Amino acid sequence: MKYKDFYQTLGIERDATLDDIKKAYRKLAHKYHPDVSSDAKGEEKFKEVAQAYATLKNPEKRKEYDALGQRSDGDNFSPPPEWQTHYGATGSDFDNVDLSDLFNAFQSSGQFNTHHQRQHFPENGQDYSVTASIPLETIFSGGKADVSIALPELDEKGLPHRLRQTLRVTIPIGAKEGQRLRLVGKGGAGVNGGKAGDLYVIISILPHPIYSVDGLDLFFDLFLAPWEAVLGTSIVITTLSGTFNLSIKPGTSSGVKLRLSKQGLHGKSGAIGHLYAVVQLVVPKKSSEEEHKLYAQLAAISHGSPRDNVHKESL
Amino acid sequence: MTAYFTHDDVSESIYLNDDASCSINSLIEISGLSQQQLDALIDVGIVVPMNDLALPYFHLHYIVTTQIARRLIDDFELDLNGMLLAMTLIQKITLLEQKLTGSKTNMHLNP
Repeated sequence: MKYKDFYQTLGIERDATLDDIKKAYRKLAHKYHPDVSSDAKGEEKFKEVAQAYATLKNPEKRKEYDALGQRSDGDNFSPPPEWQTHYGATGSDFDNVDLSDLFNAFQSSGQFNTHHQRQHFPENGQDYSVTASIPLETIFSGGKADVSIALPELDEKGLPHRLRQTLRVTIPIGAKEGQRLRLVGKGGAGVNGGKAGDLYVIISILPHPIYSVDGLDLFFDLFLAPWEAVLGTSIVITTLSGTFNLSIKPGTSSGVKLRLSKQGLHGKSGAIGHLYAVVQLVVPKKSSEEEHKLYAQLAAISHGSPRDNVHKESL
Repeated sequence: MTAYFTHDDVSESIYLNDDASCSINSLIEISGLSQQQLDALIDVGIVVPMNDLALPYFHLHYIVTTQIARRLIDDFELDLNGMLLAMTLIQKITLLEQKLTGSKTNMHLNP
């Protein structure tokens, strides 16, 4: 069983008072709480903080925790003999038990919560949430996505084990960043006939190597050679919705946005975003002798400069 | 060590947007808020019912809103007024973030 240093998590001394514990928790909760923090890893950090606080704010749980002695975070340790007796378990039964889960099951009366001691009234299972990274292609056309989560479940002795599950979830077309799906009954198991909790899947759109997303609109860089920009051309592009023939007008400058109407993401009430190709001129790093000569000829016969319209004082 | 692993094919997922609705009783049950706390959220306009019925219905995205309210009460040990203030400020921040995103998009399209 791996030791977790709850005092270190809260950044307090082992002899901290209850008031110190509360203050440390509040400070960290303000910093990491997922509903008020912009820290990307805030939710994960807040879970650790909340678990540590749940144990240390309760005098009975804290006493039991302190009896484990001072160890380093992550150290393997054998559970005390009284825990083994209590659960009717051997030391190895605790191998993949998370210390926080065990203390979460620890009742305020000072008793660990085993099946034979548990009250017989129904208890509903806990709700959980998980962030799922979904490819843009799935958001665009809808589809299935595998979501992995490890939830604690009690074994026949009452020991909580993390059960790793992979759920295949249907992602609706046009799901947005941060939106949620509710999977009824896929959260923590209920006890004594209590209902299972729900699992909330928070959608996070994976960064795409080609497209960037802004609301329902999609953007991608369309790279053009200088002569294509000057003379105009026709380019076949493959997008998320199919293949298109894109006509580039002569004299197209870098930064120009070409709109493919209603080829973006689908939104509510039938709204559809657009797909924008953003022109980027790419100048070859090397040119042959012949090309160099032609560029020199071009320079000799060309009039004006792209800087002509820029106010000289601003240069 | 025992390996614990399952694979489950889930076809039923409920998208918490404003295409579907739920009853006030469902909202209370799912969020864990009390009727008094939900009424207060309605009074200040954080949660807006779809109709004026005695037992109103709500868009499903309010499940997310009410769960945030419940988490704030639990995790920060807030009283009703504290929760309402926090929810009002969160709503304002969300609206400002949306306006900022909209402005950035306009600047991006019309530099």
